[in-house]
Amino acid sequence: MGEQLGDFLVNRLDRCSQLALLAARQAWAASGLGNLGVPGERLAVVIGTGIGGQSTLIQQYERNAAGARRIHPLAVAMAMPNAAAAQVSIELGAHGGAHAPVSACASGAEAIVWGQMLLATDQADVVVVGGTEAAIHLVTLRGFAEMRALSCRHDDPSGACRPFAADRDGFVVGEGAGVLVLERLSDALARRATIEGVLLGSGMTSDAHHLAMPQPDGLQSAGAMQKALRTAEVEPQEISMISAHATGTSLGDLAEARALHRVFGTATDQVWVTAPKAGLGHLLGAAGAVESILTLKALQKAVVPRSLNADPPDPELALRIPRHRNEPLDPQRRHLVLKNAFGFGGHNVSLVWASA
Amino acid sequence: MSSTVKKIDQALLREMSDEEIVEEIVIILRRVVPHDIDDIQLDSSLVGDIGIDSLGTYELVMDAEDRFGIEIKDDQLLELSTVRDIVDFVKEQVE
Repeated sequence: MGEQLGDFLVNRLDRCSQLALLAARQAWAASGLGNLGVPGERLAVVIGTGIGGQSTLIQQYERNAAGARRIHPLAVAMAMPNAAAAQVSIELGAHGGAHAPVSACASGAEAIVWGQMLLATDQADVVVVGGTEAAIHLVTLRGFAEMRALSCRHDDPSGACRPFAADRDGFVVGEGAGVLVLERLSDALARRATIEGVLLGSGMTSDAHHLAMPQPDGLQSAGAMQKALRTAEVEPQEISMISAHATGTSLGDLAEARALHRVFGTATDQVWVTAPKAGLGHLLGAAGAVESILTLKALQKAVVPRSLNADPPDPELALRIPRHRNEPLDPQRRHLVLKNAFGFGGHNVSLVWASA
Repeated sequence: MSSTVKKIDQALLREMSDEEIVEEIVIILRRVVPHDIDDIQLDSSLVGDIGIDSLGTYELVMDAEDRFGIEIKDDQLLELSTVRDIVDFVKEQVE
């Protein structure tokens, strides 16, 4: 990243902010808005993260513990979870607000919801939204491992994350950032923008149940999906594909499957459910944004991405999983996707995306 | 996590010319000054010519201490206003 960001930004930003900044540059360039002179006061930023710049804080703690005379004067500013949103706002000159939702692994998806709300309440005309995470550190990995959240298939990395499989045993941590540029559909149509997809609706609920475990019956995660469908004004049977949160933990996948059955009822058999984390790993606070981008790309190609490693599938989940190939969607039809993102602490976010 | 600076071998440092020490200082300055700083001379002033701010000065001192294995006390900071001042200070300290 040094070559793209330069020595100054690499020195001044935690890796999670560096990733967010690069993703934001890509999204902004792809939006075509750079040359259109969006007034700064009408441009907002919402970049979520689950953990933020903790690696910087630990690094500086270790430096202090080793007897260093000085620690980095921006240690706190680099570690704060709003640093990525702030840096993106600085680079883009966004004065319409810079926000950083922190809801563990739902953060990236929650950022998209806040972006939608900022547009709906006329706080901004363009919102740069997304999530970022760079939390692969011994302390984080041990923390997840001690709570038995990580897969122990050390001799089989590509088969380690097994969402929906009967023998799933936990997730695999990843790092990255995903950023999208949201604007009102009428504005995008008026300027003849390349529209990657349309956010039709969103829903957020909270389990109020446990700091790390999901509510086993999936009641509140189902509530988020129902809110998303309601605000999108679509019925469950209109959904072509579900991009599940599905991290590959025993409890989480089961709770999500129960929630899906609550929402989709008998239509659950008809809808494809795919788990991007089987291939991507778990990008924690970035997951909801990166997986939304993946979902939009899948819609553009009219496929349901194959869900890796769901073999043998857990019969208790009773889901329609594209286990063997990318399943084709009718390219003549407009398709809708439900994207789920849930986080430790019981944060549930669901989005309904449509092809353009 | 921000990038870190590794300590230079002290025997090697004692053999280095002024120009070589300046090159090391420029590497640090690129980390702490946001704009391009291609034209650095021995007599370039840190604030006036290079445009370093107070946070950048602190980072410069921290990185210089790490890189050259020296200690720069806060009251000595005031004496370092040009690149040449830093070079001379480093040479004094390592001798």
